[in-house]
Amino acid sequence: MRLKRCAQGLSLLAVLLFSGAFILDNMAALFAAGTLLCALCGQYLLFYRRQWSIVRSVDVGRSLSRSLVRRGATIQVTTTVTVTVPPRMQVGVTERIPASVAVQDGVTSLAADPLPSSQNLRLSYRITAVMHGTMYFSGLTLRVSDLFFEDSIDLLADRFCGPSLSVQPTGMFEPSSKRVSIETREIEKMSVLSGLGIRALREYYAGDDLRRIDWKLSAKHDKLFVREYTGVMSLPPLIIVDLPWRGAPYPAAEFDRMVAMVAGMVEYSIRTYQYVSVLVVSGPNILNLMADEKDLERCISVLREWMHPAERTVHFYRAADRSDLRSQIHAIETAQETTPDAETLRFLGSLRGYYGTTLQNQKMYAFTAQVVRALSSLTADEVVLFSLFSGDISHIRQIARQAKTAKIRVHVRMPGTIEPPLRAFYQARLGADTMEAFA
Amino acid sequence: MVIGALGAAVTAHSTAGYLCLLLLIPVGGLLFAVPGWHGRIFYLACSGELLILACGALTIWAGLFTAWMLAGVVLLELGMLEGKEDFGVFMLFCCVTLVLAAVIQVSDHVLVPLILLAAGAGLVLFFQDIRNYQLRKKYTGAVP
Repeated sequence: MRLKRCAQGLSLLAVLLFSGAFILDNMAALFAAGTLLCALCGQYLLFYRRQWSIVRSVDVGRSLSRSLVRRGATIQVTTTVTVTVPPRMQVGVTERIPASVAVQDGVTSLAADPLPSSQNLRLSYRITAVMHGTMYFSGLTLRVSDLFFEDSIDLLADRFCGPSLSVQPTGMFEPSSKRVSIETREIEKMSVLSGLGIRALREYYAGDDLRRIDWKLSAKHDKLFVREYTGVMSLPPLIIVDLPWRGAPYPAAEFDRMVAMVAGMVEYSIRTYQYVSVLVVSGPNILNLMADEKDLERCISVLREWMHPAERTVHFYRAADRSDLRSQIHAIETAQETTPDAETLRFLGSLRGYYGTTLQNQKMYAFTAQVVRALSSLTADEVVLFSLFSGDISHIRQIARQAKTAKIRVHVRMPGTIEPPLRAFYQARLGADTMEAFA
Repeated sequence: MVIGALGAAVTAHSTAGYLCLLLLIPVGGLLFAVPGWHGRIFYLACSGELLILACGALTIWAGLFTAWMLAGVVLLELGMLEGKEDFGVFMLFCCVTLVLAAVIQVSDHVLVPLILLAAGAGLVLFFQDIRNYQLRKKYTGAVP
């Protein structure tokens, strides 16, 4: 329980009067101090009586959108708190969030108005499970205050707690959704070798393998249909390494892990596919391209030469593509349609003009053109991009975009210390097929 | 409050009575001249306490009457004198201060009333704390 400033001042006055009364043996001062003490004690008793009536009136109902999720999943939580607040009291309710979740957005704290009847407060927010295990919502914190005192109480009894949330672990190196067997990868093309996935269904032609007939579909349409299975090919992924800038701080431990993982992947590729291609960049600067290298020792020596923070002659800072500029212009046009304010309209008009001029003069970045040339010169259907994600990531976006344009799957490897919500944001921004941490 | 101060000044038969009238000025000024001031309740209480002190120095019953009037003014200003419960609390305050004034009136020195006051406040706070602890145990989920 804390005294507010008014109560603190009155308490100090009472202490001074008591001291004066004792030292000077003055009955009037004692009486004045006594009345002040009676008033404060009375208010104290009243405050506690009202506080406990508020606590007794609290009722909590909490629901989760899902109770069993994987680590990194986002869950919607809705808590309804019913409380009766007496007049001249202020009440604040704050949800007690489990330690191993991160709040994404929403409201976790509300204030209640002093009303004669009970009122319902609704706390609605989204959380992301950061750790696996069983999380338990442990109740609420109630803050009560009036003119003289304030107090906070943690409501942890069973009736304020629960439900529990089970979070299953996710593997740091989960396999991608497409079925992949050792040394092969399924592709959406015809091939001599068949994979396990079904690429298409077509009508039966004479000579087709009878084992490929889809009997269920054939019975439904009264015509024979056959399955076309995916092809299988064996290509090593193109490894792209984004080195940190020498002129800025970077996490050294994470960089060492990244180097070890790149070396491991290079060795695996050479042993499995007999060759590997590695593109070394640092921001929007291509440093080295090792194409179709078969010699492991040469690979490792090249990596040893290049794998350290590099100097960047060119820097990107939120470099925008033509599509980014077009989407900005579209957003401005939408805002112009809904804004009635003349000054805002004028501002939006000049902003649109600026973006329009920039779009007209926008050319492909030299780095992007170099990436396109590198990707077209190599045969790859997958790219594994290693980066520390420190600083601007426009160059990573450029690489991912060009790879997706060339129908190459993009797998991004990033430090494990990056928060899952940020990881999800990066994945959405880059459009990567998978986003994993390097251990 | 004005009546109490006037009465004390008139019955005092000394120049100290004029102090009571003089101390009415800051109280009246805070009450009427600056109605919208945020911190005026605290200063009203402080200046009122000085008035209680001055009136109480003349006669304890004048001080008691002034204390009641000051409490009523402060509670009215805070909006804490509206319902039956609020009046009940105010009457309880008046009774307690009446007892306090009676004890002070019959005592010669400060020590005994001071000890009684401290003991009374201590007992009240002690029992309140125990009750508070029991309720906290119940609602914070501890095993009773």
